[in-house]
Amino acid sequence: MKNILKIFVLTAVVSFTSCEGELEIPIQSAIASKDVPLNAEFIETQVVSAYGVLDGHIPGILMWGAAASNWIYGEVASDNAYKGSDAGDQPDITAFERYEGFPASAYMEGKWRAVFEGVSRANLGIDAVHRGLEAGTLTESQANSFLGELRFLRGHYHFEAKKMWNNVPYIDETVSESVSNVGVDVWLGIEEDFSFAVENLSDVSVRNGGATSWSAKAYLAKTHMYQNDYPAAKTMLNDVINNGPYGLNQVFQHNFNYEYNNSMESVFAVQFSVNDGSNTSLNGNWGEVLNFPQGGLPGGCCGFFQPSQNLVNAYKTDQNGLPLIGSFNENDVTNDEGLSGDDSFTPYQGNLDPRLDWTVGRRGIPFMDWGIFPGAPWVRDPSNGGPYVQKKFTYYKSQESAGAGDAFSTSINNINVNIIRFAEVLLWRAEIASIEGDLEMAKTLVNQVRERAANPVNFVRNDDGTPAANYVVGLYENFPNQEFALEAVYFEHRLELALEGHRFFELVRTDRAAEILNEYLAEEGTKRSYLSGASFGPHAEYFPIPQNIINLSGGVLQQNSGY
Amino acid sequence: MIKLKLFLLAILLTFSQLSQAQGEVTGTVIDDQGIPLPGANVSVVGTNRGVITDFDGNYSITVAGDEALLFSFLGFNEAVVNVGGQSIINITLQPSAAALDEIVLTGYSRQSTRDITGSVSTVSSEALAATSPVSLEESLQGQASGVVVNTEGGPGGAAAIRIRGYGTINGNDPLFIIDGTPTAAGLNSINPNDIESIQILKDASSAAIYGNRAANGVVIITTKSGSRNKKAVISGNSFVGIDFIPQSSFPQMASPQQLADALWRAEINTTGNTPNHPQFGNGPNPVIPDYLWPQGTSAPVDESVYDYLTNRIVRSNPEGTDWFYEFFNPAIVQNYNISATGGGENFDHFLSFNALDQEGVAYETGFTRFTLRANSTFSLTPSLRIGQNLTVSYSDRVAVVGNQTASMASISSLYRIHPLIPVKDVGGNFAGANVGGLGAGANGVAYQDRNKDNHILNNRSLGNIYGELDVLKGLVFKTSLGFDLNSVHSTNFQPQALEGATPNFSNNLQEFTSLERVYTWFNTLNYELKLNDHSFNGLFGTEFNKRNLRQFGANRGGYLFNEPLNIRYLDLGTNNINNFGSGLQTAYWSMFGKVDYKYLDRYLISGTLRYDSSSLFTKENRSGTFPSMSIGWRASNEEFLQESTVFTDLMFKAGYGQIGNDGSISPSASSDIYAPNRDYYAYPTGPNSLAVGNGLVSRGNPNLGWEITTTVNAGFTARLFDLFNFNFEYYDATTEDMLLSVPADPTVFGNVNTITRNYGKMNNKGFDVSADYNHTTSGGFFYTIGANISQYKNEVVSLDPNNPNSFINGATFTTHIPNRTQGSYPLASFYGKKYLGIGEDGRMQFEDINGDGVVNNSDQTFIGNPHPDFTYGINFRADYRNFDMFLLIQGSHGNEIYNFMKYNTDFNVVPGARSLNYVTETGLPMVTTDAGIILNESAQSSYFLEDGSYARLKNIQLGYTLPEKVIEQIGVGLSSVRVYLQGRNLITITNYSGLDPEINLATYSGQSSNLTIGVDSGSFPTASSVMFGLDVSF
Repeated sequence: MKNILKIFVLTAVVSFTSCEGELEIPIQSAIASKDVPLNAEFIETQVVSAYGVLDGHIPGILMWGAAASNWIYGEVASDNAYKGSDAGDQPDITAFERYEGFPASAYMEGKWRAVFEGVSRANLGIDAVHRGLEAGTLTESQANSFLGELRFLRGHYHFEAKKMWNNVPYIDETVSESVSNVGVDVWLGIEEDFSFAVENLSDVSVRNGGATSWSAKAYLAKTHMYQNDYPAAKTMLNDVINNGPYGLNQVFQHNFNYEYNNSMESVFAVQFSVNDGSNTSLNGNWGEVLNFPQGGLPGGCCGFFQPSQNLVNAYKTDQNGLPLIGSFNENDVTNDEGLSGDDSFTPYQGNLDPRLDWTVGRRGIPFMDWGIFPGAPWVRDPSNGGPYVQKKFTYYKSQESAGAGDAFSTSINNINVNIIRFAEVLLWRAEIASIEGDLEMAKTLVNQVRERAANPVNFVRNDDGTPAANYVVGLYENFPNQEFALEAVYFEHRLELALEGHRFFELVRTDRAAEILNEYLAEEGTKRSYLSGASFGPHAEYFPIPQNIINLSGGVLQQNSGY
Repeated sequence: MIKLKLFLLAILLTFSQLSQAQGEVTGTVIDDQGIPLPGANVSVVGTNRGVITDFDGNYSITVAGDEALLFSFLGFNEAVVNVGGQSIINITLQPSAAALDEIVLTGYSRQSTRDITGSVSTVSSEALAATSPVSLEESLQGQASGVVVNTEGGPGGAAAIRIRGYGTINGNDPLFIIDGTPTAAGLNSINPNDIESIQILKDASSAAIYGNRAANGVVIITTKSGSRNKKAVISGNSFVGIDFIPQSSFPQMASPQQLADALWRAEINTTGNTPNHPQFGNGPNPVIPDYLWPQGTSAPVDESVYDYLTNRIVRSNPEGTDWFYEFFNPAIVQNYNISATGGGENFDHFLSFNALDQEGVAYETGFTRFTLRANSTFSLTPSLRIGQNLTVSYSDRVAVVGNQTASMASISSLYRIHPLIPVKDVGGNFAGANVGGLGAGANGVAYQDRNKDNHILNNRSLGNIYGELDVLKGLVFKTSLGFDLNSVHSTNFQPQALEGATPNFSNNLQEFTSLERVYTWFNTLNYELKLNDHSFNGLFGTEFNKRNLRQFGANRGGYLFNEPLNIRYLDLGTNNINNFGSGLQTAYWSMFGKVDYKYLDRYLISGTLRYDSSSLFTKENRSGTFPSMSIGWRASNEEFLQESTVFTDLMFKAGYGQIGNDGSISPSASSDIYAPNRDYYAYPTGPNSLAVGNGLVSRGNPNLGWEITTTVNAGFTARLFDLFNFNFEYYDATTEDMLLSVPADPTVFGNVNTITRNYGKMNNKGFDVSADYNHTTSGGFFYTIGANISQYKNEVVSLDPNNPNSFINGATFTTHIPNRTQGSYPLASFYGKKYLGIGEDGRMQFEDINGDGVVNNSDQTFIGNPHPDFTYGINFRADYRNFDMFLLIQGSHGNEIYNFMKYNTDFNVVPGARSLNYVTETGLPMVTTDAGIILNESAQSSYFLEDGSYARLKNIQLGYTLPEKVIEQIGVGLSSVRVYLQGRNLITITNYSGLDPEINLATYSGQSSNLTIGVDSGSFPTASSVMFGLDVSF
């Protein structure tokens, strides 16, 4: 009894004394910020994460709405493509296609979040570098190398925001609360970031497809182009073209083939990988997940992003193999709309640019090595989205095991998305030459791009080796005047870079959007009923700033006019 | 003068008593069941001398022969016995009739319901047993005022109990205390047959003693115990029943012909042309094909060329497949329970075993559970006792695929899959939308069939061991060590599935396991003192709780075969090799005290103080002290009412209190957190390889502190004519500094922009009323009828004090976010456009909310309220001779449901099934294929709102107890046999068009579960049941 009493007394004493010391529990299964080492090894992983959101891929958003390729905003919202799929599927995209984008759209919020997550990650890295320098855990050269990449990325993300929404704030590592987007010179910040990258990055990237001084120069040139600052752009472009490591791939399709990711033509590209140990291949090209033909290929889904008749028509060539710049849309390239897979169909017999058949999947033409494209059976709803499918983000059947992802749909792949490729660099330089009246140089550069297309190695071929269509591509003899030169440059840009996410932004940049898009809507409205009645108002040059983001800024951010 | 005489007389009497011979009286105090009553008061009438019975009900007191002894014990009628020279006085105390459940546990101690000045509801084992529950939560529905039970549905599904509305946004579950041990791991593994009683502490003054996590109410569960000096009694009960979903509740869907016609009409309405459809052709009228694959074929098809991989021939089903009928099937439920109870002089024991096998009404689902319980107490010495409670439970659950918020879920797919698609193709494999032209709705039957071998296994051990010591007279020390060990293992194999719109050519196995260890150690000192008209009870205690959770899982794909089951192990997978794991640790420490004082059984006052420290906060903000108090006035004991035959009992009470809540926030909420991650923070180093980055995965706030709920409670209880009990309470609770994950501007903070803050203020006010009446007629007919009704009004007073327009969204359903939480509105109010009706143009009309002259998707406002005007329960019980009957009706009135399923069935968003309403031209807007119109009309609006009121016959049971004569004839030691027939959820009165109006939350755990209320996105319906049961004892 006494012993028991003793135990009780002891227990009482122990238990009534505080256990508060037991409450200091380290955070489990995560690294608290106070434990983060500010050394090169750790900051390198932050740089990786800053690159990591180039794919626009963050939790909680519609991934296709923030796709690195901008297929919705750059292409569907232009004259190059229709939304595709069924009429009511992803209706927000139709709103953008009709230039009726609205601030409450989840697409806008997703894209904004993805882009500014990139800015935020770059800033976190930059801040860590500064603190590492202060703490002496980094050397000056390590710091500058990291800062070069981080500021390059911050420039890129702001560039994405700027071209989408125009009135955006510039966020650097010192900003800690909402700042205004009105009257802000974001271009200045972007230029400073790219200039810093030019100064501090080496010629060769420290990582797969990472930023270099050359890609920074090209991006800086693009920044100047978007401000119509041709002299500044020219200096950079000359340097990149004359001294840089870039060139055109002989095979056009290699630009859209994962086996040739980071080829010499790739100036800066978003890298993708599949079957790499991530869950559901989350580093694959999820932004394009909807854009496989429906029904045909294994796991084919979901029949979005269908090229427009207008785009297909643009690939017609005359007897000299030159594009029909003014009249291309007067007659349609024959299509199989309204026909079932069993009805007979003869593909278009006129002259065509072979780039058509690396850009667009159409009835009767081999679809890579998947077989002859059968028309309706591989198209989700031809009566809604027309008879074509996109082809640039599609892999070969023979690449299936190495290239295809393992998730939701086997359409997820590792084909890089080019942000800048060398053909575009050449065409920018040609544009400047045209504007400066150097028509010879403009012609030479355009022909340089056309010459590759004309190479028979770039013809799509039937199993028996014969060309699948009547491919005729010629070079320009001369550019008779400045106006023609500029038209030819612009037209070549479209043919060469169609469906790569640039078209809409190029139209806005060159101030041609209203004219071209209204003409397009008038004609296309007769072909696609859902486009009838739509028009392009001046406010549509920029997308609406997402309402939720404005709300979360406490009203500091202001909506673009017209929305 | 007379008073003086009386005084002198009293002194004389006292002296004369002293002159009497004194002697020792001993005895045992037992109850009417023969169970000893430890802790009963034995006092000498007219003196302050007294003792308390020991653990075996024994006492010993020195008393004079002409004195009288007063025996009293909470919940029992007092008894007075004249000693008259006896040396042994054994007495049996009769339970007092004042209330059915007299003794309640109100926090580390016992108290009479009579004397409770806070708000406590009690559910007896009898009321529980009458529902033959398979889960404890469901049995609470409708039983107590102010208590609403939200069940996920399906066998073994989760449940969420909400007490008096929504006290806070995050961490709104009540605290469950099972035999003194707090648990947060749910009640699924508890055998309802083991429950002795359940007390629900609803207001701050009664719950405050439990402190942290008690702000949303406390549910105290006491399990059965054995009896001293009693021979063993073995009883068994079992029931077998059939669960089913009444076909009358299935939504009305359009036939294939109606769908095809509507498709044609839509295209003609929009473009004037007839469509070209892969299945229905391109003629002037749609043609329903005989075969869906080959696509749209009506000519004869050679079915012998069927091949699963390359040519899955699918016949069409022109009559239309009733997917709800195919999916929901009657299911058998069996429950077997056996228990033994008994005890010796110094110990008692309770033992039970339960086996439950519940097939699910959803295709290929089910739940099997075994539980074992052992409760015992031992007296080592008259003043020292030890005891234990233990339950060990094992369960095996096959769940329905996907929940309401999942994009791929079985039940929501039933609303989407086109009825022309049959369940199976001509080869006997599942058919689906891969035939083209019929949308992307999944075959829910196929989902479930593939899931039938995916088991969720759960092992749980829950219990405590305790010791009690009578230190001094009236002073008891108790120490208790409680533990809750919970392990879960699940396997999820996804075989190849080719029938869907997006065929899945690969297969994948995920295994997941988690181990949770929680222990709670509390120590209390309880002091009880009765002095003439004063009665005093004091409690002081400490409590320490630590929780440790670890989980991990792994994935592999590339299995060579999908069958047989014995290949479904990780080792046999060849690609997509992945693993993951995480864990957390939390702890809290508390100190608390309580004082109850009663004078003359008229005036009661009670005060509590609790000091809480939580590991979830940083050291500086870790601790808080929270006071509460309550008072009561028993008017019926005042002289002016004492003789009243109307008021047998009448007490007014009022309470005020504060309780701190750590909100179950993430343990990392106070710090920025970095983590390496292969998915979102990595960047490719090549086409099939990665560099892994470290990302800021969540932002922290080191200034987080306690969320505080302040409650005022006032009301009265009355017993009239000794027949009628009435209880009314009004409450007003305000929670401030709510712990909430709040989004900041993503422009600055990126996508990882939510930060936990002490944010906002919310108020709940309302009343609870309960009443019951019981009566026994002279003919031996006993009946009781009870009713309860509860009302709460919730208002989020404010969120961000600096920005009145700040709000928090609920879950996203495709493009809809129906719930919005914003200041001045009820939690999770419905938000969207205001639907006005069909206009002359045949189009849906909406209100121009922002007054800009344009009606578009920016015209959104608050459109509805998911909270009910009131909820109620009515129960009835009757006994006549050998027959007995129970009846329970439960309902909710005035709540709205956002029927999101209409997004798919009432609009031409994607091809697939449609409601009957859609295809009948009188119903919905003129059908169209115009994407702009579809976008406008299908956007979130009040069109989707429906009245969610319902009244439901939750339970009806008819029982018959065999006459003793018959039992004697049977022999074999039988002592009683009862058989019964029971029906559950047999009648539901509602106007709601969906499967089941009993809808509340979309998810049952996680920080945001309260932000999405009343949305039906394919929720699991509550099953109806008919069952037969048998109770025997030996």
